[in-house]
Parts: sequence; structure tokens; C-alpha cells
Amino acid sequence: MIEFSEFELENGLRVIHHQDITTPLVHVNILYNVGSRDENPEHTGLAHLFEHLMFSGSVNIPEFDSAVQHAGGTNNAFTNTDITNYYITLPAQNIETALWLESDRMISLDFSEKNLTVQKGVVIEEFKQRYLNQPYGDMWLQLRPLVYEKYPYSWATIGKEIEHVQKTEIDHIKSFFSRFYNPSNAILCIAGNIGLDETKNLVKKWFSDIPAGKQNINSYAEETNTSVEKRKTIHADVPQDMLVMAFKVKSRKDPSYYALDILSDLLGKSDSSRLYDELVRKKQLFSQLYSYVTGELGPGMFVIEGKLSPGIKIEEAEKEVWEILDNIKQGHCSEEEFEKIKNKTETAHLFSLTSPLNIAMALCMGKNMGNANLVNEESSLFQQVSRETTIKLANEIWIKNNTNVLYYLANERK
Amino acid sequence: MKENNNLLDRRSAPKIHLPGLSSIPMPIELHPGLLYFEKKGCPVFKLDIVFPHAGLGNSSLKKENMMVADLLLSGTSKYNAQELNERLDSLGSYYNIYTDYYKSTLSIYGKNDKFSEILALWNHILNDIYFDPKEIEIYINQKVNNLNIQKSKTSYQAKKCINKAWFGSKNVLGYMLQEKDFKGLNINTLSTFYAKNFLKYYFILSGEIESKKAIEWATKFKITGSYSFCVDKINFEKRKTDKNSYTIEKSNQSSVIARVEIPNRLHKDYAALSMLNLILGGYFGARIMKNIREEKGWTYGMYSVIRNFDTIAYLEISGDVLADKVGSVISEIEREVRILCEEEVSKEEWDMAKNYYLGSLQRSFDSFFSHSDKFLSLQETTLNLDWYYFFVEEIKKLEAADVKKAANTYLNKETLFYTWSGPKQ
Repeated sequence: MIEFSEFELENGLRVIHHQDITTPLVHVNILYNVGSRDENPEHTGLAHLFEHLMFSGSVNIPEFDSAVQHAGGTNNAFTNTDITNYYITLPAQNIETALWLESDRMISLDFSEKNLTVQKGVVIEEFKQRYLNQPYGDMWLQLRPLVYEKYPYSWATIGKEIEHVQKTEIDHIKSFFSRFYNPSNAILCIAGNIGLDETKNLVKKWFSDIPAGKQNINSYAEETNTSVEKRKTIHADVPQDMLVMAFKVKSRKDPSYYALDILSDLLGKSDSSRLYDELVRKKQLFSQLYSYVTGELGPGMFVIEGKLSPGIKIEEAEKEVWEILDNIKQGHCSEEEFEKIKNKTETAHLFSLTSPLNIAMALCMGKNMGNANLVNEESSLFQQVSRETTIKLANEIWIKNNTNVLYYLANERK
Repeated sequence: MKENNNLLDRRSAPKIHLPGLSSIPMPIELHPGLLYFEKKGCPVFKLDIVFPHAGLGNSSLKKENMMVADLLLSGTSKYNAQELNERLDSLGSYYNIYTDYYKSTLSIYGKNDKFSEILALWNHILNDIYFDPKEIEIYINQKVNNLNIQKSKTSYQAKKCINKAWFGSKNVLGYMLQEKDFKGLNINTLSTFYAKNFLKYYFILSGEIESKKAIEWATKFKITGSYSFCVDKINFEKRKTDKNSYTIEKSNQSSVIARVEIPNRLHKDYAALSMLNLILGGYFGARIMKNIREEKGWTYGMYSVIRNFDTIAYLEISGDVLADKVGSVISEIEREVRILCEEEVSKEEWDMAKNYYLGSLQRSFDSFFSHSDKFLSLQETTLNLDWYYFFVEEIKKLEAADVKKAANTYLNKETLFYTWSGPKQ
């Protein structure tokens, strides 16, 4: 059981506190409710580029990282389709440094052309390193526009293309900041060796003077339910063919998420799962094959992804995957199989809660979904999933007109 | 800027307190070969089973020993691989296996209430292993496919070049496994190597498990109190060769690696070298990151690390950079090295780096389940975790002049060894 307290400042900043007296450290996690889904489809990659600029100096502090390092701390951040999350870990007695830094960059950034030019260069190198210079690296750049028609998930967080990052100007950055970076649109969690009273005093000291701003109330286009299966074939210089199948599913906030997650584990998480046992171990059609749920706040994806063994036809491999899916849809899975998945989920959950930083992030994520206490409730929500619910769900999502298939084929080698 | 006339004055930084190490957890030896890190109230455990004779540096077999650890779950006389995986999953347990030059380590994770069942299963696996030919075939297929993916990466090719030249072809670390090695896997040699080297192991248990129960299981596993490794002496050949690059024409980036030999953590200069590494490329605020990423935007990340062996060590700088900037990046690395040799680090930078380093040492002991990893990382030099008390004091005593002296002693343009991979420059 993770114990925590919540309070809110007058300017709308929601704050969560979790005390752990066994550590000499404190973790300051701040979540802004803005992600790549809040971008203009003609100008993508902005949320992530903005995350980089958040470390390039703020109104009173020219160097963010140096100040953290000087206090013996470390910091990082990540952006996804829904949120941007920043965190600092430092010795508990230096917590004011973290609050000073986070509050200053919530007021304003140092919007300089030089910073923007440098960070555009860094992000473009990240784009190349992660998405272009790796075999299969552009899979998400190919898959997202195939799956999503209206909902703004049809591009990857890094951006649709390098040109979108390149064309960003300082006014875009200023406008993005004023829309999304303010206390009302943020959730702050302080976890570690600090008491509640001290936390309240320090948070009030550093954040209560910041004007409230507005919450992100973006409404997003409803994703359409297509009536045909969608397919795409691409060729690239990769060693083996890869099959990717994606099925649209409901939001991470929907109660069906827990059954979906169990279904994806049962189908393809470990070496004892259905896909691995049948198609990697027994039939050797694939060298790797697994499934997972993306868990986004908007409509998500149930993804099956595998690299084929040499000489195997991709159409044949896909047919075999469908046989496994149909088998589960027909109810061929035992209570023991479900228990196995639930046991493993519980162990993983308990291990994740041994890290105070994980706890801080989980509390912020839960709060952003409307309930910080999800960190304590989710284990039981997984345990409550029944075999019948899961099979029913499989029958709803694994259907032809909800299927998106990407054939990622290897160029013929000379 | 947001409009508010009553903003707090944030121009001055809050006062900073120097981080320190309050207490380092030390393992208790509950039984010969059974070390225990205790955390009261922890509902889960981690058990590291360490095979000190099964490191890559044990040359009794050249290539197979790089693969044995991967195949531990291929079967027993009673269960096939599928059944073993099924049983472990049913117990809610998971594991990973890691092999380095000195040892193989099997880390098992689980809930306390399943401790005995999980250990009973692993006792059966380790003492009744059967290398199933079908599992080996699957393993070969996976490894060959993965190898083909790796071969198209500039980072793999640059690493392959430098390891070959640095360690020489006689040392296992100078060799990256090839398709023919996987395809030539021989069950008899695997079994022989396993019987000779994998049946000697010791335990590091982390969590809250009753000591009587832990000792009972240690006895059932017949663990020994022998912690010493069985490896060949490491040697850096640093063979100068014309082939210090590998061309991948279509690549969007190039990978650059630079190495230099330094003494290891047993040496009196190690603390100064650690600070030197940190300032050069060991953290986000390091000079190479500031120069090549933050000022020039040529890379997403370029860092340096120190790799320790029992008698020597090396410092390595590596990163993926703009495809056509290999020469420029190497020049910038050399420039940063020259500056470290010629100029003392400023007080401001020195204080920041020192505080960061002390903080990172403190953070490294924050995650309970990483204590055993830290303990193991000192094993090749036979040091104990309390060495960190000594090391922190050494870092505190250091002055900027010590780093300049270390740079002049160990680093210069001639001692740096480079390889790179990417499009023709």
C-alpha cells in the first residue's frame, strides 16, 4: 500500500506527496498535460522539441542542468502522445534547488534563437539515431498513419518528418508554452525523505506566485471505426521480413484496459505465451514474436509484432497468427493460463513499487487520469479480470475490419 | 512571460548541502556461499546465482561459453523448455542472465510467498539440465537473425573494429560471434562446459527471507563458499591496424569510438581518473556533451565511461554523430583532451562536477535491488562495498590540479585509439 497525500494550490497546481524515510533522496516529478496529440498535423514534433528547450534556460536561470548537477542531482524527461513528464532526483536536503528550477521554468523560458537552433539539431540527430539509422527504426512512422484516420495519434512523438522539426520558429515555441505550461495544467509529485508539512510550505513558497493559466481542454477528433481492414507494404534494407498487426482498442482509462493487458500478456509476452510457443518454438515461423498494448489516453492499439524466420512467406505467417487469435476467441484458454498471467503481473507491480521515482511517476499518471490512488487499486483491478470478459474482448477487437497490417519486407539482396 | 508583479525573487539559487554517503549496506554471510542483503518489510526477493567459473574469460572453451548461459532454460530430463517457462510464469517469477568477462549471473525475481517453490524449480533446472536440440535450433535462428540486424548498425561495426584491435584475436573480448559460430554449436561441448563450470556457484539474496529458510535452500543447492573467478589474465594488445573503420554507405549517422588505457580502481590515481572521465564525458554536463551536442548539435549523445578489469582498465568515449562529421568530432575530442592537459578546471565547473559525482554515488545506493549488482561489480578487483567509503573520501580530497596531472600522465593525442563506422568520409 502506497500512502500519499494530495493538496492543490489556488493557482490550480495539483500536488501529491509520498514520504519514504528509508532514502536520503527526494524525487520531484512534474507532469504537464500536453503531448504530441496536441500538435498541428502540419507541424508535428513540437511537444518533444519543446521538452528539449525546457533544459535550455529559464527566466532567471541560464543553465538548468548545471544547477541540478551542482546540487548533486540528476534529471531527465520524456514526451509521449499524451503527456510530457519531467523529473529530478537529488539529496533530500537540496530539494529547494529542484523547486526553484521547476517553478522558474514554469514562469517563462529563455526563448533564444540560438537555443532553438541547437536543440533542433539535437532532435534531428535523435530522429536519425532512433528512427532512421536502425533497422526497422521507422516502424512507428509507418504504422501510426495506417491505423489512425482522425484521432491525432497518426504521427510519432518525434514528428512525422525531419522537416517539421526543422521549420519550427521561436513564435511556435512561445505560443506552445503559453498554452500548455502553467500550474493549472500540471501535476507535481514529491516523493522521498521529506515530510508533508515541509512539502506544503516549500511548494507554496515556490509555486503559489505563478499565474494559474488554463488547463488543456483540447477536444480531439473521434477516431472512426473503419469497415475494411487496412494494409501497407514497405521495402527496406533489413535482414528479415517483419509482420506488424495492430487492432484499435479503447483508452487506457476505459475499464477494459485491464483485460486487454492480460490478453496481450497471454498472447505474446513471455516464452510460455501462445504466440511464442506455437509459432517460434513449435513451427519456427518467427524468430521473435510478441504482443503488447500501447495504453494511450485516447484510442490505443493492440500490437502483434514479429520477425520472420528465413524462407517463410509473410502471408503464411499472418495466417498462422490468425489461427492462434481465433483459437483464443473460441474460448480455448484455461483458468490456469489466466492465473499465470495475473501472478506475473502482480510480481512486476510489486517490484515497480520498490522505486520511489516509479511511485512518483505512477501517482502523477494516475492523477492525470483522474485518480492518483490507481497505484494502489490497479493490482486488484487486474485480479478481478475474468476469463469470460477477456474472451469476449478478444472477439470484439480481433476482427478483420479492425485490423491494420504492415508488411515490412526485406529488399532482395544482391 | 506570465504577468504577475508579485513574483518571488528567483535570481539567487537556494543554499546547497554537499551530498555524502550515510551508510553503505553490507551483505551478511549467512552460510558459506550465501550472502544476504536484508530489507525489512519487502514483499519480493531477488536471488543472484553467481557462476564464478562461467565468465567469458574462462578460456577452457572459446565460443560455446558465450552461449551456455542463454540456454539454461532449454530443458531438463523431466520438463521441456515450454513447461519450464510455464512453471516459472505460473509462480509469477521472472529471471535474467548476464555474462561478462569474469562470471555469469542468473538473477531470479519473485514474491516471498513463492520463494521455496521458485527455488525448488531452479534447483531442479541447474542440476538436471538437458540441452534440447530443438531449443538450440530456435536459439541459433534467433541469434543469427539478431546478428544480421546488428551488422547493419554503425555502432556494432565500430565496436567490432575497436575490440578486435584492442584485445587481439586471441582474447574472447576481441571477437564478436559470427553466424558460423552459432551454426556450429555442439551439444556435447555445451554439456561438458556446463558440467565443468556451471555447477560451482554462490548466492546473493536480497529482500526479507527468514535466514533459516535461506540456509536450508543453500544447503539443498550444495553451494560452495568459493567466490574466486577462473579467468585468463586480461591484456590490451592495442594492435595498430589500417582497418580502423567500417564503411556503411547508406547510413544516416556515423559511430565514433575512442579508447585509452588507464590503471584500474586499485591504483592511487583512480579517483582523479574518475573525475577526469566525468568532466570529459561522464555526465550530461560534461565537456564533450556541451561541445558536440549542446553547442554544435552534431549528436544526440556522446559519453565516456571507465571499464575496469582485475589488473587494468580503459576509458572509452563513444557516440553516434552526424554522418560526415567523423573527422571534426575526433578533432574536438582531441581538443578537449588537450585543454584538460593544459588548463586546470575552473572552480565553478570543479564544484559542479564534484557535487554531481558525490550525488551520483549516493544515488547508486538508493535502489535496494541494485546493491548486489554493485557488490558484484567490485568482485573482479576483490574489493568490498566499504571501498566506497574510501573512494568518497578520495574524491572529496581531490583538487583540480590532480585531474590536470592525471590527464597529462594518461591522456594525449598519441595514446587515444580510434575507430568509426559510417559513410565514406
